[in-house]
Amino acid sequence: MSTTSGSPPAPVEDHGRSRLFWPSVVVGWSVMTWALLGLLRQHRDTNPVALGRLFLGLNLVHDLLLAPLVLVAGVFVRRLTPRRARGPVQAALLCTGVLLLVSEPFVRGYGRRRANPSILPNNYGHGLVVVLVGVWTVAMLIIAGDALSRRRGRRRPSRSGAAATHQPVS
Amino acid sequence: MVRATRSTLSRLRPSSVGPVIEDAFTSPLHDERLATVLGITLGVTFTTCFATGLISHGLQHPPSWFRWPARPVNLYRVTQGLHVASGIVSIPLLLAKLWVVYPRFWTWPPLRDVTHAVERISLIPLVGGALFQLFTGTVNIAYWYRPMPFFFTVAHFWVAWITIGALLIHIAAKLTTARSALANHPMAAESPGQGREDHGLSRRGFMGAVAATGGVLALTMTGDTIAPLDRLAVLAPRRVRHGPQHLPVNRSATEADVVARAQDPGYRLVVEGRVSNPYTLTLRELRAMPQHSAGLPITCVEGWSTAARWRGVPVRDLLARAGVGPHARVRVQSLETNGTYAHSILDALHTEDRDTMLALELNGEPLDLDHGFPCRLITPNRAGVLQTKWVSRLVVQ
Repeated sequence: MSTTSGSPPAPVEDHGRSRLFWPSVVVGWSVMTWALLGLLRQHRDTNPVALGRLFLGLNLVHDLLLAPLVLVAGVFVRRLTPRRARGPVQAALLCTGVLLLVSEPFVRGYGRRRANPSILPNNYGHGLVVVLVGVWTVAMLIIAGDALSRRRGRRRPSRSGAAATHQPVS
Repeated sequence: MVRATRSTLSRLRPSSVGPVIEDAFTSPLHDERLATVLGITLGVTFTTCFATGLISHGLQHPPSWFRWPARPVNLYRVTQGLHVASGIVSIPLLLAKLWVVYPRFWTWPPLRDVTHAVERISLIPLVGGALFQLFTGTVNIAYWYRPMPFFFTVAHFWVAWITIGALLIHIAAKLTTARSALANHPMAAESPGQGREDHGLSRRGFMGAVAATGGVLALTMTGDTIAPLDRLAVLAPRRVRHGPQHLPVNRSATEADVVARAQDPGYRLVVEGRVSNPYTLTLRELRAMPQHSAGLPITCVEGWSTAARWRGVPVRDLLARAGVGPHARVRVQSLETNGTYAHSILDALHTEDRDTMLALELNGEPLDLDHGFPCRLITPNRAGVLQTKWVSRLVVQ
């Protein structure tokens, strides 16, 4: 790793990791082991097998399902979206995807209870639609604004040339 | 032996197809500096979430050394609101970070040496823990317990420590890489038009989109607690003024199976334990005692909170009648017999506070059955689950 003269090299060991790495491994795995033992000690409350299944399952669902889906969606966006609109469309899709994921249990109303109507009192499907319309409206406005400013930029050289001939004489 | 294994694995790499080939991922968003910035931001939100979560856990399961003050009355409102908000904002941050570093999942060979192996293996509890915490936190505030065949608070607590332990290792592993990534300034050098050419979003645009998504989530899911923003909180699990007497309910009288006992004319409040003068009171006698009013918030562990006006009998007055000073530790028992929160413990700091009371009225009306009729405990600066409803007994310890 190159350094500028006068500045000390970064303390590195073991393929670019700092000297803190191995101490952090000791501390980190000690903390994790203590937590795992606590989790197992309270097994009646934590149900370790089911918990472990959810823990690993979320990892696998993300790596083997969610991320590949995003990759495929990205390919479609590149192929179907005009180049200039690609950025705002990707941003709106990012927001949409996260909103759909997070709002799902609210929209489905899984937690609603007849004995307690103060839980999940809103119309979440309607609310989600309103938010998504807002997100995509902003995306469209950005695309339109970008197109407008590019069109103005193309006209500007002839306008400034004409303006130069009309500059007031002092 | 290690070198031979590494060499064999390298030769076995699929050469023409699949995610393990070199340059399989072409998006400029798979960028070291972007990973670093997202990582630092996640570090801040997760640390905030962890610290505020520990406070909430300490309140509910206090170790012997833990002291939580009665003032300011809104402190827990702030810490728990921050806990849920920082968790929600972490969702787009975490998904974005995992996207940015996704090509590394397919690194070939998967384990280069012992150090690399330890670092990679330590990522399993980090990613799994982070996803677990955000998933269980979200389904918990949605009151959807089916995906969690375990007791949420206990599991959430232990996995938080697993995640933090793994985070410590990850920070140390990436410290040098992060420093050099930040020093290089490729994002500063990137002009506004770059990145939109073939791939779309620039790196700055991507960060903006992630930040905006976090903002939208925070506003629509947690904005209900802040009065001018509550109309925008269309995805919030509660409306903070929606419910009997303009206050949401967590556990109704029907769910607690106390409807008959709470309305029984034979109801008595019992004050007993380490007292010189144990006694009982009917509801009428309780109402005849000097009343005290206070504006105190109800703060749910799910993050929402709202202010309310309470009127009732200060607990210290009830203890004085039993011949006990105001610094006693008291077990507050509910008519509810099943359930984790059928009782709570009042420590001395809260017992002596003038505003800690058995409330008989809420917002100018006799207490609703679902809010704890005939009386409920209300204390400054404590979690809603500890504000015991349908109180039947005060046991001085």
